[in-house]
Order: sequence, then C-alpha cells, then structure tokens
Amino acid sequence: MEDTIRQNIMSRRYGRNRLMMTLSVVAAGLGMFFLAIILGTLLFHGVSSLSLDVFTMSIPAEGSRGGLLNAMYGTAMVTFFAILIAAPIGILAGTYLIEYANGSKLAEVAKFINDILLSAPSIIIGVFVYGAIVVPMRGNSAIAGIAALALIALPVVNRTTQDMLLLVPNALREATAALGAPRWKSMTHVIYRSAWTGILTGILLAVARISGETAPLLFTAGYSKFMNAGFTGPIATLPVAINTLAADPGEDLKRLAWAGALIITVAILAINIIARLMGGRRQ
Amino acid sequence: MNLIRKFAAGAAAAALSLTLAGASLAADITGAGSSFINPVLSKWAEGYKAATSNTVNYQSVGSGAGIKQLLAKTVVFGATDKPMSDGDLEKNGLAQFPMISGGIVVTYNIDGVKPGELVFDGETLSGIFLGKITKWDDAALKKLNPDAKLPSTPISVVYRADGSGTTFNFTNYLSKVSPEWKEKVGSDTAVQWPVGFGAKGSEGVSTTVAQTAGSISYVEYSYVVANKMGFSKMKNAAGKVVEPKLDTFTAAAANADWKGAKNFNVIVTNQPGDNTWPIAASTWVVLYKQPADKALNDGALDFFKWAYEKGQKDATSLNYVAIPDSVSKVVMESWKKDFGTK
Amino acid sequence: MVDATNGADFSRVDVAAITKTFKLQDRIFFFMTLASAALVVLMLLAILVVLVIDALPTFQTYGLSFLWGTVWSAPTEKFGAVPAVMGTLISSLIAMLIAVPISFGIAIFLTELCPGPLRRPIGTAIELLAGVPSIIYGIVGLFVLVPLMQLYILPFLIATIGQVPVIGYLFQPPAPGVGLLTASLVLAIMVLPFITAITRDVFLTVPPMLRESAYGMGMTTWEVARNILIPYTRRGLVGGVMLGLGRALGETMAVTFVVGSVTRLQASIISPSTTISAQIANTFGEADGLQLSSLIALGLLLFILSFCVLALAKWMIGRSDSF
Repeated sequence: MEDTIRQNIMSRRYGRNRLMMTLSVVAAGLGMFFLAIILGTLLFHGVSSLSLDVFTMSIPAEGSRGGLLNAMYGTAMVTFFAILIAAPIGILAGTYLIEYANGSKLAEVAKFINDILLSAPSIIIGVFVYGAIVVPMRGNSAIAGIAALALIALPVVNRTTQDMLLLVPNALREATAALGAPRWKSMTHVIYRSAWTGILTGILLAVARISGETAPLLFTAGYSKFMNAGFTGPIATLPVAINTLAADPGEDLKRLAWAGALIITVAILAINIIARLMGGRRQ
Repeated sequence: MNLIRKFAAGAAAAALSLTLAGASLAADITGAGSSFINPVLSKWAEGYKAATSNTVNYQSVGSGAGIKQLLAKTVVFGATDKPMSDGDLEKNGLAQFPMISGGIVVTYNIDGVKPGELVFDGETLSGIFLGKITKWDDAALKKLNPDAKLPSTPISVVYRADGSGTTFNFTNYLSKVSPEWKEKVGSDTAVQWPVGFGAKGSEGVSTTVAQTAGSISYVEYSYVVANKMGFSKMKNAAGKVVEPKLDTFTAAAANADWKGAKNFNVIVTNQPGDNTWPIAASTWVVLYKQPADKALNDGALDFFKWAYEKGQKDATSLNYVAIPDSVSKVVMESWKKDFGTK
Repeated sequence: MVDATNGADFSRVDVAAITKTFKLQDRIFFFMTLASAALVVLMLLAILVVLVIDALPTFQTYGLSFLWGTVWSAPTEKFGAVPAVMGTLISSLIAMLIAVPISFGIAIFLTELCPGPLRRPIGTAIELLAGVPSIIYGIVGLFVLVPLMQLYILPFLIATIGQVPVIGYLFQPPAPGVGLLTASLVLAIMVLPFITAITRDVFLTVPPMLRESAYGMGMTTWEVARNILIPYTRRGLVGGVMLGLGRALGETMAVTFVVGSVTRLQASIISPSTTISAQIANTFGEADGLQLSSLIALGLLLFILSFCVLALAKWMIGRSDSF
C-alpha cells in the first residue's frame, strides 16, 4: 500500500518536472524564435533593398532614386557629438560619486537621481528638449538632437563608471596615495587605467543605445529629405527616417525603410558584440 | 591609450570641420503642412533644386501641424487644404494663395473587389462614416453596386488622426450632402469621428487601408494610384456617376472663382456639372507679409513662381489640377502688395 | 645603504611649491567631478520643472479632475487622462503577464538545463534581442504581427473568448489588427530579454552549495527552481520584473505603430486604442494650447509612474544589481 502511494507521488513529481522542464525549453525556443523572426524579417526585406544608391544618395520623393546617406550621416553626427558631451561628464560624475563622496547621503541621493534619469521614458526627454531648445531656437536642429541623446547617454555612462570604479580594489587606491602623486593624477593614470575596459564598454553600449533611439529625436532633430551637414536646421537620422518612410505607401520608400532598419540593426548589434567581447562578459 | 586619444582627437577635428563647413551653407527654405500637396510639392522641390540648386525642405505633417509651425515661426511657409479665415490671416499678418487642386477619393480594401469597381454616393458614404452602415453587403451598398461581389465583412473606417485639410474637405462634402452628418459631426480639420480609428497623414492612411481587410477611408488621389489601392467612383451632385480622373477634377476646379474670392478662399466640394468630381480640394500656401527673414520669404516665393510657370507637367502627371495661368498671374500680382516682391 | 633617490639632489626641490600645485590640480579635478555629478541632478530637476510648468495650463483648467477625465477629444478641446493612462497600464500589464513566465522559463533553462557549450550563445542571443532598437519592433510588429492578428488570431479570439459572458466584453470587434492586445504582445517580446537577463543573473547568485544539497536530496529540477531558486532570489526577481515594467510603461515606438491612436475609452482590448507615449508621439507635432499642455501633463504622469515603479524596484533589489 505504502509502496503504491510512494510510487504515485514519485511519478507525479517526475511528471510535473517533465512538464515544467519542457515548458522551459519551449520558452527558450520561443525566445530564439522571436529573435529569428525579427532578424529574418529584417534580412528578408532589407537585403533586397540594399544598393549602392542607399549609401550614396539622400532620401528621395516617391518615384525618384535615392538612398539614406543623409540619414546615416545624421545619426553618426548626432551620436558622435552626444557621446562627446555625455561621456566625459558621465565619467567625471561617476568618479565623484565613488572616489570622493562614496557612502555619503548626498551621494546616495545623487546615484538614485541618476538612475531615475536612466529609466526616464525617452520621449519625455524629447519633450523636455523641445521646450528647452527647439522652441527658443525656433526650429529643429542637430543641436537639439544632440542634447536629447546626450541626456540619455549621460546616466548610462555615469552608472557604468560607478560600477567599474567599485570593482577597483581599494589596495590600488592606497598604493597610489603612497606614491605621493596628486590625487587626480593617481586617478587618471592608475585607477582609470584598470577600469578603462569596463568604462569603454559602457560608452559603447551607450552609443548602441542612443543611435537606435527614435522618440527623443522626433521633435528635436526633426527630419529632412536633404543632406544637412550643419548644426542648425532639421536633420535626418536613421531611426526617424525609418519611422517616416515606413508609414509611406510608396513601395520604393517602404523598401528604403527596411534597408535603413537593417543597416541600423546590424550596426547596433555589431557595437553590442564588440562591447561584449571587450568587456569579457560572464557565462 | 595614447593612440586612441590621437585617433579620437583626429576624428573629432574632422567631424567638427565638416560640420562647420556645412553650417556655413545658406539656410534652407522650410515649409510644412498638407500631405495632400506633398507628392507634387516634393516633385517640384526636386525640379527646383536641379534648376537653381536651392533647397526647399517640406515636411508633410498635415495642414493643422503646418499652420501651427508657421505660427510658431519654425518654418517659412505653411501649406493647408483648409483655407485660413480672413480674420486669422489679418490677425497674424499672413497672406495665402492657392497652389494646386486635386481630387479626394474614397479608398477601400475589400477581398474580391477591384479598384474602380465600386460606386458610392453622398448618402451611403455618410452612412458608412456615421457608423450606420456596418457591413459591406449592406442593402444600400448593394443597390448602388448590383454587380459587385460584396462580402459580409465588417467595414473598418479609417480616418486621419492628425489635423488634416483632407479631412476638412471630405467632411465639408459630407456636411453638404447629409444634414445628419452636418449636425452630428460637422466639418473641420479634426472632428469627432463616430466610428473607426486613425492613422497619421495621407501616407499612414494609405498604408493602413492597404494592410486592413475590409477598410475604407478618404485620401488624395495620387496616393491611391501610387499604392495601387482600391478607389471608388462617385455619384455627383448632378446624379451622374463619375470616375476620379484629371478631367473630372478639372471640371470641379473650373467652377472656382479664384479671382473674385477674398484671400482666394474658395471651396470646390460638391460642385455642379455632369462631369464634376464631387470631392475636390485645393491647397493654399501661407506666408508672413512681414517676415523676420525677407530673403527666405523671397526665396520661397521664387520657388512658387517656378512651380506656377514650370511645374504644370509635374502636377498633371500626378493627376493634380494646376492653377490656370490666368489665375496664377493674378496671384503673383497680389504678391507685390502682400509680400513686397517686385 | 642603497641610494633610493638614485643620486637625485632634492635640496633644490621646492617641496612646498610642488605640494601647492598638486593641491590646486586636485581641487580643480575635484570641482570638475563635483560639477559633473551636480549636473546630472540639475538636469533631472530641470526636466521636472519644465514638465510641470508646461503642464500647468491643463491643471489650471481642469484641476485634479484631469486625472479621472474619461474624454480626450482634440476637436472639442476636452482632455482627460484616463484613456491614455488606461491604455498604458493595460498594455504593460498584459505584456508582463506574458513576458514574466517566459522569461523565468528561459532563465531556468539557461541555469539548470542548458548544456554547457550552448549556454553562452543562447545567453548572448537573448541579450542581442535587448539591443534591437524599439522602432524595429514597431515595424516588424506592424508588417508581420498586425496582419496575423487581423486575419487569424483576433477573429479566433472573438469567436471563442468573445462569446464567454463577462470576459467576452474584452474581446469585441472592431478588430482591424491594431490595438491594445497587439501592442501588449510587441511589448512582451521587447521586455523579455531584460527580465530574462536579470532573472538569470539573480539565479546565478544562489550559492551552489544550496543547489547541490537540494539535488542531493533528490529534488527534481523543477522542485529546486520552485523551492530554492525562486524563494532565495525573490526580492531580486520582483525587482527585475519591476524594471521590466518600467521599460514597458515608457516604450514609445514599438507601441505607436501597432496600437491604433484612438482616444475613445472602450472595454475591448483588441480594438484600436492608445497609450500615453503613443498619444504624445502621434499628436505632439501639431498640438498647441490646451492640447499641448495636456500632452505634457500626460508625459508628467508617465514620468511619475515610471519613477514610482523604479523606486519600488530599487527598494526590492538594493543597489547591487544591473539596470
């Protein structure tokens, strides 16, 4: 009697385990499936739309030949300057919070505020920059776009810097202090050097993140069919171009949108992979 | 480390110099507004750039957004399919002139029904958009289209979610043919649609209808041609069934008394005539009389002069009705008074 | 004795001057870092201030009743927050209901079941999914998911659950493919990699000793997961879920393409609807006056909402974990 009961319990347990483990494999399969669908759709629609034109001409009106050159330039330019601003400030801010003020109540608050900025919906950043820059400047501009992306990248770099600096052993800090060098020198030459890979990874991840952002650029950098190399005036960026072109009924323009989608995704995935290879991620 | 720094500095210098070089180029002539005029205006901008190397940067954001940008002075000109009232023009120091006319067609996506096959009239159209006719095989639709194979799919109404001059003209037509519509909904660039859902811009509407089985909407004719979508014939005010074509659009616009109307304010919906397309519309360009940057204003006016004189072929190739020469001459004459051109 | 100074003559070195220069350099560096940290705080405050100021006209017109106003209609200039807020909350909720079980499943797979050599590639693949820009989710959602929904999935739901009393009200036509449910599905796929990554990381912090002893006792993998892994990491898990929720709440581009932009409040979750971020993205460009400030008021609400979720998440995980 007892044996039967024990056997029943056992088979139930194993049965349940079987079920759950199958479900978890199914879940992993689903995850892979979604990734495959997204990349597959991108490749399917995007590869056939690639041509030399895409890389050499600007966005056309429907029916004419054209490409995404102005949008690619726009993304590169706006991302570049945004990181140029955000990375140094982010690194310095993280340095302050860990090296100088670690543990203080003020630092805890500042870290928390940084994380709020980090998780702020990007469209809200766009709305803010619209009010702060676009309205006074009377129009869209690369400057506004740069400001918006910098605001998004800043907390990312700040956070990564903090995390990386925390990993630096205190013994290293004490050793450099004993050398008699000024603190800032010991910071830059020793401590930064040991945390550098991690910080660079953080910057690369920030680049990957902001180059794909659409919402904050919608009302700031705006959109243009023409090449705009300057800081003022509306400038096209890849994500906003994809957004506008995908909504167009014209077949050519939709194809261009897919090409752009493929280009930006490949670029961002490449940056992510490079960042991970550099960072030497965990298993 | 040092190498990275050198490289970064070099890249920064290169980017900066390229950017500054670009910044020294002349400012663009910027405009925003109606998506109705977008196909032909884009073609004009391309032609103008080829002819003069000047850039006209136009954003198709809808008539409502275009005028808003003009009032915020973030663009040089606005384009709207709903003419501005005398009062608004006066209050803001603006002047408007007509640039193009064209046809709004009813577009649909029904399995088994070809483009150009269906016929609607004002009554059935308002019934559908009021939500009273909900299925494609409704008796009223069958009566107008005895030969079409109408399925029993529900009708999905799609409208313009943004402030749209196309909406204005379409609802203007519905208000003229249906007192119920006029009372319940009225006519404006944005209205309280009783049923359906919205898409942004003529572009968005076209894409949405193409994607949604059983859908119906209203859009400028060239979008329907470009996207090979279903479109309907209409029964006009004279009771005749007409196709959306350049000659029916022209017949509708022919009734417009441009020269006689103050501020060129003429609506061409539901015009009389056997061969008239009932849902026709025009687009006006609006500029400041005393702009902050007169050079940009003059540049824009030069573009529109080019469009009047040389852009007619582009217009007709896209099935728009160009403004007749007699009228454009009067318009350009009025520029001397309004904008101080020579 | 070894000459550690290497023969250098320190009698000429002005130690005091050097120290003074060092101190000055240190001060400058210190202030640079302080200013940078302060800038971050300043920026957040600036954002809040600008949002509040620009949203003021709406609250002056409606007072707090804006928060429970159920009508949002630009043509009649009436604005209430409920349709957009409801859309955001419902789509995020459904997205979490779908994403969390799948994420847990993937995490359990990665930590317990997955053969060693596959672990890294599959883990990386999931993380790559996180890097895909949200607009890609939007267009793939629009061109792949929406037709599927309209032609097969939604009619099926209407015919089955739509007929059940009470719940059926949630699944009524019109169902042209775009709507809250579609948006929820896209959101779920977007949030999946985040929650998976955090869950997996958190599972990995469970001491191997605990795990091994559980297996040693004869527990099945599922029992280990259910009775050891999840309870041990409970706080971290909830924190991770909250972070995913925060992401879902604020997501704009993925949702805007597939949600429909209808501001009417309705019971059916398969009909076109709207969310806060989609509403802003769609109508901000042409809004002015009361509509503009109402949109910004919605934005402020969203900001506060995601702040609350983040604060809750922090309280749960503490600071040791990833974003």
